[in-house]
Amino acid sequence: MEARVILDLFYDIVKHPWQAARNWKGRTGGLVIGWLPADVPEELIMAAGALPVGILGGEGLLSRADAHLPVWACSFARSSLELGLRGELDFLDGLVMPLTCDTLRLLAGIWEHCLPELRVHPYLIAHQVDRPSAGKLVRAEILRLKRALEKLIGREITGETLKAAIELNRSCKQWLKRFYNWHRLHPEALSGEDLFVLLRAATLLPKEDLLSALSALAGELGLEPGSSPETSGAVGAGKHPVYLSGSVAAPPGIFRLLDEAGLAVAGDDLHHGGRYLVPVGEGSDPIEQLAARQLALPPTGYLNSPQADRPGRLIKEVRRAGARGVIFLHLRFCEPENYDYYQLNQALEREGIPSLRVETDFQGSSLGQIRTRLEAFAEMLGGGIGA
Amino acid sequence: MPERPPLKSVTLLKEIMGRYYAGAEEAKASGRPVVWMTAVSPVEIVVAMGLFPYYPENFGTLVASKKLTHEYSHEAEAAGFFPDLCGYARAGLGDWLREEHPAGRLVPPDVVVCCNAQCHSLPKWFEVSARWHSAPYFLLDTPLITEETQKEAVDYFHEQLLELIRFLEAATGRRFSLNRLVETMDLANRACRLWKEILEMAALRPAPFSFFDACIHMGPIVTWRGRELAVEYYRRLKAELEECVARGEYPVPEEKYRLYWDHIVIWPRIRWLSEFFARHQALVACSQYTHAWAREFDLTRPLESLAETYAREFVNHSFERRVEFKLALMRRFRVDGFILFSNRSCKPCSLGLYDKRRLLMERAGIPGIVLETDMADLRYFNETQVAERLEMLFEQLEGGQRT
Repeated sequence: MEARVILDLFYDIVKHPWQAARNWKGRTGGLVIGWLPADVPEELIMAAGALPVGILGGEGLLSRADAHLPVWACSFARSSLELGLRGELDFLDGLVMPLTCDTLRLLAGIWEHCLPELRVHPYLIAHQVDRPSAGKLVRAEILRLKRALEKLIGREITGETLKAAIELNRSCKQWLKRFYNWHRLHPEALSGEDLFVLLRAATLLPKEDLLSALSALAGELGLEPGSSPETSGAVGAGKHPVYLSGSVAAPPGIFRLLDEAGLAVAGDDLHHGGRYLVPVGEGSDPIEQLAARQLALPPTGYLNSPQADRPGRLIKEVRRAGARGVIFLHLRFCEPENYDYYQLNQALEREGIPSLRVETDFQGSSLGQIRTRLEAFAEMLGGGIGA
Repeated sequence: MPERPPLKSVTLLKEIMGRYYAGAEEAKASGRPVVWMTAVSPVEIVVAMGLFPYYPENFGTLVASKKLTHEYSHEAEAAGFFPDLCGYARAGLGDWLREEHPAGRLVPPDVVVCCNAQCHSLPKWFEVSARWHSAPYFLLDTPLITEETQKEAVDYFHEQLLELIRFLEAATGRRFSLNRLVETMDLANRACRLWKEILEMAALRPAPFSFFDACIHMGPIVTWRGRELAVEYYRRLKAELEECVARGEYPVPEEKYRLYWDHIVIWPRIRWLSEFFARHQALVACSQYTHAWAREFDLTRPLESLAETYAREFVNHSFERRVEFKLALMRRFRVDGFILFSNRSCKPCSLGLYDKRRLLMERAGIPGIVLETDMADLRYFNETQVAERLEMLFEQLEGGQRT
């Protein structure tokens, strides 16, 4: 199969996001557990023999969510709830909701009230990670999720199955990182849109299927399985490398606009992008390994104490990725990002790194206007400013 | 029945709030560390260590009461903050960025302590400020309390209190003493008890005291909690209210309706609101917001008790528990209707109100509305719309509508 044909299959999966899970459920009779970004330990769900499915909002009009959430709640929360209210998520046996920001903290309760059959598991997040107390909370929360899953499946999740899940997910993420690098080097062969379709499909497919599909794609692209998943500074010719920053980028069509404007994604800190790809490290105690990953995740809007130094880290990452500019993809009404933008923008200005803030939502408002702004930004980068 | 004249305690209120503002400046001048704190957080530890607790949220109410939030917000927005963020935060951020200070100045912190039980906006505002002022920053992280999570959440909070004490000792060079903490908590208890008794007087019918009075008189329970001055103030206020009852003087003399108001008041329009309700002979009897400081510590387990109390801030509970809290207040104050304030500035208080309204109407069997506006920023306040919504509620009350 040619690379494009395999990619088309991935596009198809993302276009019909729940089909793979429905098929898997029909085939195996297993449980499907949804999770919202970010920071949920997928591996626990895998170790329970269940299928983890990433819920990442949806497109289309909101007809039902308006009765439950005001218009000034972010469209990620609103469109995710809409999916539930429309019955599109009726194949889920549970939903893990990380309480990252106020909106999700409140959404969990609204969800439980409107959709009790979907069994929400609120997953507590430590909003400080530099003190010993944080480690204890994170471990306790991982164990509480483990117990909840065990109750659901009626058996214990053993250390062995958890280790195997960690290994499998690590392989998947290593592959995804290689594709990320491939996009940086060959944006003409694997576009930014392609890359984010792979990343999205990674949270929809059973991991074994994902792994074989990714290896097949790699074979067609000529990507070496042994190649290092670590980022290198080099970026393919003909495109302007940019770094994407935000929480959740939407609508998916936004990545096509980046490609069309001649921009390549050199790196990102999105919850369904670079942040998702942070692997679980090595170790002998799998619970400890999951906790360590969570505590080591990069700072983001809901985790940005002065100690965490998100602005400083952004600069470092932009340089490491060899990006020439930063594009903030901000969801309208995303509170944490709307607070952090000021500091991040100031830091970039001090360093002379050009940036552009694009405000979007899942309903895909004014993409035409965004296109024009991206093209202008690309032109400016082409002028060698900030290179 | 005569209408209650303005409360004499207001004079004393102004004086002790003036002492608080002056105290912050004096502390700054004399080198006593000024610690930024959030309104619902264990200030007792800070007071016991002889530090000066300072409440930026109170500054937010000041700016809002002077109807200036949108003006302060201009500077914040010009710098790269957004108009959909909390109105208090925009006032505080704007104050640092602007030249004019018609509400006095927001005193810069030496140390920043932030508890996120109320919301996750406060940490964002405090993070930026800590960076601006190079002040050591401590987040008291307060995960959501549910039946399944409460043990973990409270244990986590308790452990962080120990971390907080070590942090404050290192940041200020002051020593912590458990005995001093117990003394401080004892004073806090006495003021909180009085505050609660005062709030509960609104359950009398007619009531000498309304929610709007509570909003005006809550300053000391926040800023002077844990000190003699707060106890003294509420003792006086309570005595004055008892005199009002004895003389038969009431804010709404011919009470026709009693209402529950959910959460905070609309600061720039507090007078307009209170007159609006008075015209309709309606007493707004209670709100969860003002009850947030009606608490009681167990002095035999000081740190555990602080953890249990503050981690369980009313906002930080599950959907269902928060409905129950509202219902309990409605029943205790025997209200005829309710207003749920959907506040643009405050997601934790607002998201979920559409569903809660339906549930509360069912369970309490009384009419209620959701009011969409903002606690501080008049750009989000449409007087005609607000009045129309409220009139609608009164029509339902007139019609004796029972759902």
